[in-house]
Amino acid sequence: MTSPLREPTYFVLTALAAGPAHGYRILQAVEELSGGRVRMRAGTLYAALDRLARDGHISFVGTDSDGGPPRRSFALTDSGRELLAAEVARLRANAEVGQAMLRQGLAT
Amino acid sequence: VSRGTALRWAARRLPAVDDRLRGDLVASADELAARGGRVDRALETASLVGFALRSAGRRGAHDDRRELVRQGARTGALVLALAGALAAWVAVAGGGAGASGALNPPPVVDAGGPVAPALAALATLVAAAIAGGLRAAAVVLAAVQAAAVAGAVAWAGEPGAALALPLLVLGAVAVGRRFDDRACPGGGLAAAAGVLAGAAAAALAPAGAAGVLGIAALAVPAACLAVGWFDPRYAVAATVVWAWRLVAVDLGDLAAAVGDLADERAFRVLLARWLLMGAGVALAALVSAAAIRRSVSAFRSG
Repeated sequence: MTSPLREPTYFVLTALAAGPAHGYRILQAVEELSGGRVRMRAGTLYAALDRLARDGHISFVGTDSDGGPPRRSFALTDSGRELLAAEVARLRANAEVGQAMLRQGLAT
Repeated sequence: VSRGTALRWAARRLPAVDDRLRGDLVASADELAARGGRVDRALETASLVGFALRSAGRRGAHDDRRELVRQGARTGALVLALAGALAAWVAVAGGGAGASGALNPPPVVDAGGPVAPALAALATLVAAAIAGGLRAAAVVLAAVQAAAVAGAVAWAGEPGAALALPLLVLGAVAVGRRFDDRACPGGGLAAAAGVLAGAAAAALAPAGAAGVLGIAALAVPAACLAVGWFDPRYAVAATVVWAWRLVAVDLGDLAAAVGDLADERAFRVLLARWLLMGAGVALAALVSAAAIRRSVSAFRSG
C-alpha cells in the first residue's frame, strides 16, 4: 500500500488533468482549485514537477520560446492519470466511511 | 535595480536545476516578479534557492539514502579536519593547547617542542587530502594522525579528549564519499593554502585568530544545519561535527564528576553541557533524517 499524496502534489495532478499547462498556470490553478487554501511557491512547484517527471507521471510537451529560453508545458501521462485516479478513489473511500459513520451517529 | 532582480537571477543562474525545467522556470519567475510584492518575491527567491539545493543533493547522491549519508560524512570530516588543523596552528602560534581553547573543547594536545608543529602539519595534510578528494591518501593520513595524537596524548599524560577529533575524522573519511567521481587537486591545494593563511594570521595575532576560530566553530555547523534542511548532506555533516563536540567534552571529567557527587556543581555543569551537546546531535540527526526522507520521496507524505 502506498502512502497518500501530499496535498500540493494532488492539486498539481488535478490541475493537469484538464490538459497541459505551464508552471505559472499550474500555480494559479492549484490556488483556484483549492479555494485559496494551497498556495505553492515556485521552488515547491518545480521540485514536485521535477520528481513527477522523473517518475514518469508527467511529461514535457511543446515549446514556446517567446524570445527567452524554450518554455515547456507539462502534461499528465497514463501513469500520472492512474496515480491521480488511485488517490481520488482513496479519498472517496475515506469520505464515504466518514459520511456513513456520521449518518449512523445521527440515527442513534 | 528592476523589480524581482534576485528572483530572475535565481531562476536563470541557479545550478542543479534540470535544463528541461529552466525555460518554464524563467518565464514563471518573470510572471511572479511582476505580480508579487517585495516580501513575496523574497519568499519566491528563497524557495528557488531551496529547490536548487535539494536538487543538488538529490542528483549528487543519485537518490540514494546511503550515498547522501556517505557524502555528508565526508563533508563533516572535511569541516572537522580543517577546524583541527587551524586549531593546531593557533596552538603553535600561541605556544600551547590552551590557545586553541576557542574551539571548545580544544582538539589539540599540549605536547610542546617540535611535536606541536609536526602535528599541525600532519593535520593540514589530512585536510588537504580530504578536500582534494584523495580518499585512500586521506584515510592513511588520518590513521597516521590518530596514531600520532594518541602517542602525544600518552606522552603528555593528558586525558585524551584531543584524540576524539582525529578518530572521528578517520571514521567519517573511511565511510565517506566525495560529491563527484573525480579527485580535485585544486580543492586540496586551496584547503592547504587556507589553513596556512590561517596559520600566518595566527602567528601575527594568536588571540584574534582564536576568536575567529571560536565564532566559526559555532557558525559553520549552524550554517550546515540550515543548508541541510534542503540538502541532507550538510545536515549529516553538522551531525558529524556535533558528534565530535559530544564525544570530546571531557569524558574523563564527566566520569570523575559522576563518581564524586560531592562536587555537585561541577557535576551539574558537565551534565548540562552534555545534554546540550546531545541535543545538538539529536537535532542535527533529526534534520538529516527529515531532509533525506523529503529528498528521496518528494511528493508522498509519510
